[in-house]
Amino acid sequence: MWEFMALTLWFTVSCLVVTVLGAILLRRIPKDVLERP
Amino acid sequence: MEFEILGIIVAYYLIVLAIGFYCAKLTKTSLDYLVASHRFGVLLSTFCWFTTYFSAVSVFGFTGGVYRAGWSLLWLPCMWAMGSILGVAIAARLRRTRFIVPQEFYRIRFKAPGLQTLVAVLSIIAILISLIVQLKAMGIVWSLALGRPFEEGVILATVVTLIYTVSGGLFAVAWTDVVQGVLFTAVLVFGGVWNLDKIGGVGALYAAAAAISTPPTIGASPTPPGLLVTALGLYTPFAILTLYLNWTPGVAAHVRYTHTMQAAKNVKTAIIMYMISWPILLVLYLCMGFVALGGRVLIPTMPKGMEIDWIFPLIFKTYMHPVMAGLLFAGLLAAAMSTIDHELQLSAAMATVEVKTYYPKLSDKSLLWMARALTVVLTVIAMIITFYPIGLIIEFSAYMWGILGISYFGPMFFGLYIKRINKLGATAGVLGGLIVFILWQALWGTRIYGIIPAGMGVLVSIVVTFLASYATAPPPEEHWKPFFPTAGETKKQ
Repeated sequence: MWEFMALTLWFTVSCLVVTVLGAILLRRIPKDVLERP
Repeated sequence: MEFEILGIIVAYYLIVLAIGFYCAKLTKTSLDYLVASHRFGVLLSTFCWFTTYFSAVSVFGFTGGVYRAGWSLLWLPCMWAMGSILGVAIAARLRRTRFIVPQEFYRIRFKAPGLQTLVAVLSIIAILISLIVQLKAMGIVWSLALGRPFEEGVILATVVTLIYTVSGGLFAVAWTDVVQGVLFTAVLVFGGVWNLDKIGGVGALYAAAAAISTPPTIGASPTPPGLLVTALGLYTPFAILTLYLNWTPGVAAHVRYTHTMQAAKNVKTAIIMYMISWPILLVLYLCMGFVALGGRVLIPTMPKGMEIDWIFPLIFKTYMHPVMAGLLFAGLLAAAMSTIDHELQLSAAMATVEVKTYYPKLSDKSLLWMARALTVVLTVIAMIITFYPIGLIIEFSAYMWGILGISYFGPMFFGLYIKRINKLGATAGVLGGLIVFILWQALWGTRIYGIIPAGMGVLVSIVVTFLASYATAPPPEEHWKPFFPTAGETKKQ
């Protein structure tokens, strides 16, 4: 069971890292650059 | 033929056609048609990104793979998510400068118009050939749903896709994506939840799947008990590593995603579309995994004449009311069409931009109609090679993701983050990667420790890009400046 759960967890983390990295970039990049058309 | 299913599919076709005609009003200039005038907000960017990413082949291939080899297929979406992690980083820099199609990056960043044209031609060929499997998927859905001829399904769905795409350009692609995305997400989530409920939860699913020892298809080798719930399944650890190398760069810088970044109204939107898409994809993949693994428990061996890739529709047709089955088939068509429409529109956009480069005096009206005409021509070519595939094209289709990964990933990712990468490095990287990839594929295929040739091509492309860039003069500031933070920008405001 642990292999099944570990792979599921690894997949979940992989997906959520995309969102977390996006959030970090949104905090780090200045607002005027983020919202420039 | 079941009329509930036919009725739902026809209703779905009418809805997307109506959206296409509505979007024709939004498409007044060539920029509207080609890149939605860089006006997509969060809703359109997100749906355009994630529905283009998620195709009918994803559903068939992934569920078929889980049915045959078990939960270990989850490694594949892990690799694609890793590609999107790099994709977010690309979006943060690439969208700082506006352009229409991805190949223009080579002209703007490296002042290499010849490389731009080469990469554009390769990309268009790669997209058209990779569309063969997507177009075939629409025919398969049609014949599974209604028992009608495969060719009829391909032609009908392609004509519907073509009409709305030509009418409304990228706006029509994205607005239909909203309907298509909602439809297939709802159906796939329903399927996952229904299956878990039927089998009795994740624990019961695990226990039942672990005990399976029957072959997946009649005449195939029996499945070793326990295989379906192991982490490695039929993979070796080394194969997983090289598969990461193959898939991650291909997904990170694929033209259909970098094009959506450009359609987004700003950098913020281009980043947010990834942030929303992946939690949705997390749920979708888990639900598809539950349906496929649960499907193996409910139907341990596929009936005669059925392929493993058809487990999802088979479950719905066997256990569900025809209305639910109809919604599933419409959802599968939606998943296919939402990928095909963007790829056709993008390949026409790439060709239009190249024509414009060599004939800059063309009026905007001429460009708009030329883009529409090219969409029709490229669709006809894609259909011809689908119905009359010559051996060379079929052999070539296995290379497509590799060619796109090699053509874009190294020069684009590193060109966006390292100022020193120059025109010679990018050119040598693309050409070197392609040569190694083609030679490796022709000479050894995957025979050397299971190494994927495209992965080697990408590795060589990255190494050569660095070596050639650092061995030659650094590029002038105006080359990299549009994509890099300015001096006063490094601190958070």
